[in-house]
Amino acid sequence: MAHAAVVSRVYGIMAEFDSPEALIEAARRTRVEGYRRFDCYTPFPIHGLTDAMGVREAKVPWTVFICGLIGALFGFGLQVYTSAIDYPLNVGGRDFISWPYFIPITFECMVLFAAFGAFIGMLAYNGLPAPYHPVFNVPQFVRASVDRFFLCIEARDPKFDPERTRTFLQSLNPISISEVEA
Amino acid sequence: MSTVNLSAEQVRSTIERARGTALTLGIVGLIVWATGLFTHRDLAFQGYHFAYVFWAGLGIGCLGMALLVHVVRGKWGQPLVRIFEAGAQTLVPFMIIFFVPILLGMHSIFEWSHPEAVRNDPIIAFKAKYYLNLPFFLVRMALYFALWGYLTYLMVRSSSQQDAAQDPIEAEFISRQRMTPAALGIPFYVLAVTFFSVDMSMSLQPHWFSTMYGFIFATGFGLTAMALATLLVLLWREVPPYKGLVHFEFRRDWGNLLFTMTVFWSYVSFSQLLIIYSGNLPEETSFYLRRNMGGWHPVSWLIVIFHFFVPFFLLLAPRTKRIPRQLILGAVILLAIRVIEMFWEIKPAFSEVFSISLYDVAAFVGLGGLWFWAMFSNLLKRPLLPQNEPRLQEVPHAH
Repeated sequence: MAHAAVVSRVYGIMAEFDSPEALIEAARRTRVEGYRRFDCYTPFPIHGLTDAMGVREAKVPWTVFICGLIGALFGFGLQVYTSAIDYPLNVGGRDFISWPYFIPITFECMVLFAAFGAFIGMLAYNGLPAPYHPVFNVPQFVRASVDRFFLCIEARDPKFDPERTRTFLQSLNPISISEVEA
Repeated sequence: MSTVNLSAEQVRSTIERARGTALTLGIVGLIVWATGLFTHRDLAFQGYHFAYVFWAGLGIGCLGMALLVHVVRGKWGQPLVRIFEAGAQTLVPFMIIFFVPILLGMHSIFEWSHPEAVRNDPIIAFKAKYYLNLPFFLVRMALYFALWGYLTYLMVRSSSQQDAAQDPIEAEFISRQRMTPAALGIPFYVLAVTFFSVDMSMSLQPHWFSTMYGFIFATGFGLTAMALATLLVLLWREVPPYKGLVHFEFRRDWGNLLFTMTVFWSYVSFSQLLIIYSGNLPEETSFYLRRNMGGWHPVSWLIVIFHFFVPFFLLLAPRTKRIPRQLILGAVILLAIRVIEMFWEIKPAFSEVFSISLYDVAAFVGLGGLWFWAMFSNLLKRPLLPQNEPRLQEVPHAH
C-alpha cells in the first residue's frame, strides 16, 4: 500500500551533470533511447540543446502569425464597418472604403495582436505562471541557476519505468540521480 | 600569410562563360536598339533611358551595399562584398561612357529640356531657371559620379590592401581603417542617390514632386543589388570557393535583409501614396492617376502583390532560408519585380497607354549584358572572397 502510494507520487527521475556538453550528450541519448517526456534545466541558454532534445515544434511563431492576421482583419474590418456600413462618412468625396486610409490602423492592430500573441502565447505554452513545480523538491536543484545542468525524465512518459529509467540515467554518468516527488 | 591560389576557385570558369554570353547579348541588344535610332528615335531613347536608370541603379545599389558591409563589418556581408564592389566599379568609367546616349537623346527624354516647354509653362520655367537646366544637370551628374567613383576607389583599394596584408593584425587594422570613409560616405551617397533619382526619373514629369522619391529609389537600388548578390552566391554554392561556405546562418541573414529591404521599400512607397491620396491635389495625384489608367492599373497591382505580399510571406517563413532553392526563388522574384517596378516608375511618363516597345527590351538586354560583362570582369580581377578576413574563417555553429 505504502509503496504504491509513493510510486504514484513520483514526478520523474532527475540526473545532475556538471557541464553543458555532458547535458547535450545526455539529452541526445535520452531521445535516442525513446523517451519523449523529459526536460532539461540549465543556468543559461545552451546552443544546440533544443536540437539534441529533438524539440521540433515552434508554436509561438505560428501563434504570432495567426494573431497578426486576425489583428489585421480586425483593424481593417473595424474601419470598414464604422466608416462604410454603420455610419457611411463622405470625406472629400472619396470612396467609403478608402483602403489607403485604413492601412495605418490595420497595421497597428496587426502589431498589437501579434504582440499579445507572442506574450500570452509564450506564457501559456511554458505553463506560466507556475507557483509550484515538483523539480524544486530536489535539494540539489537550487544549483540549476548557478552551475549545474539537470535532465529530468518524467513519469508520464510511456517508456518510464522506475527501475529501468534509473539504470539508463546511471549509464549517462551523472554526478547524482534523484527521484523527484510530485 | 597564405597567397591565394586563383585556379582553386573553380567558379571562375563559370563566371568567364557567363561573361562571354553577357557580352554577346549586350552587343546584339545594343545593335537591335541602335536600329531604332533611325526609325523610332524618341521610343529608342526613352527605352535606353529606362535601361540606363535600372542598370546604373544596380551599380549604385552595389556601392551602397558595399559601404554598408564595410561599416558594419558583419559576417553576413563577407561572401557578397566582392560582388558589391565589382558592381560598384561599373559606375566609373562604364556607366559614364554609357551616359552619352542620354545626352544625345535629351530632347526625346526630358520635357524640361525643350526651350518651348520652358517658355510656355510657368512651372517648368521656374524649375528650369534654378535647377532643371542642362548645364546644372551635367554638373550634378558629374558630382554624383565623382562621389561614387571616389567611394568605390577607396573601398576597393582598402580591401585589396587587406588581401595583401602580411599578418592578422595588419589585416584587422586595414579593415577597421576603412570604416571611417565608408561611414562618412553613406550620408553623401544617400544624398547623391536622392538627387540622381530626382534628376533622372522624377523630372520626367516635371510638374510632379514627392519627398519620398529618393528613399524609394535608394532602397530599391540596394534591394536589387542584394537580391542579385544573394542569387549569384546561392547559384554558385556548390563550387569552390563558395562550396561549404553558404550555410544556414548566412542564408538566414541574407533572407532577413532582403525581407527588411522589401518591407522598407513598401513602407516608403506606401507613405508616398498615402500622403498624395490624403492631400488629393491635382499636381500631386497626376503621378498615380497616370499609373492607374490606360492599362497601367494591373501593373500597379502586380507591384503591390509581388513587391510586397509575395516576398513578405515568402521571406518571413524560416523554411525559405533553410532551403537554398526557395531563397533563390525569392531573389528571382525580387529581381523580376524590380525591373517591372522601374519600368512602372519611368515608362508611364512617356506613354499614357500601357506599352512595351522592342527598344525598351533591346536596350535593357543590351545595356544589361554589357553591365554583367563589366561586373564579371571586375569580379575576376581579384579573389572572389576577401582574404585575411577573420569573419570568414570562423567555424560556423552546427545547426
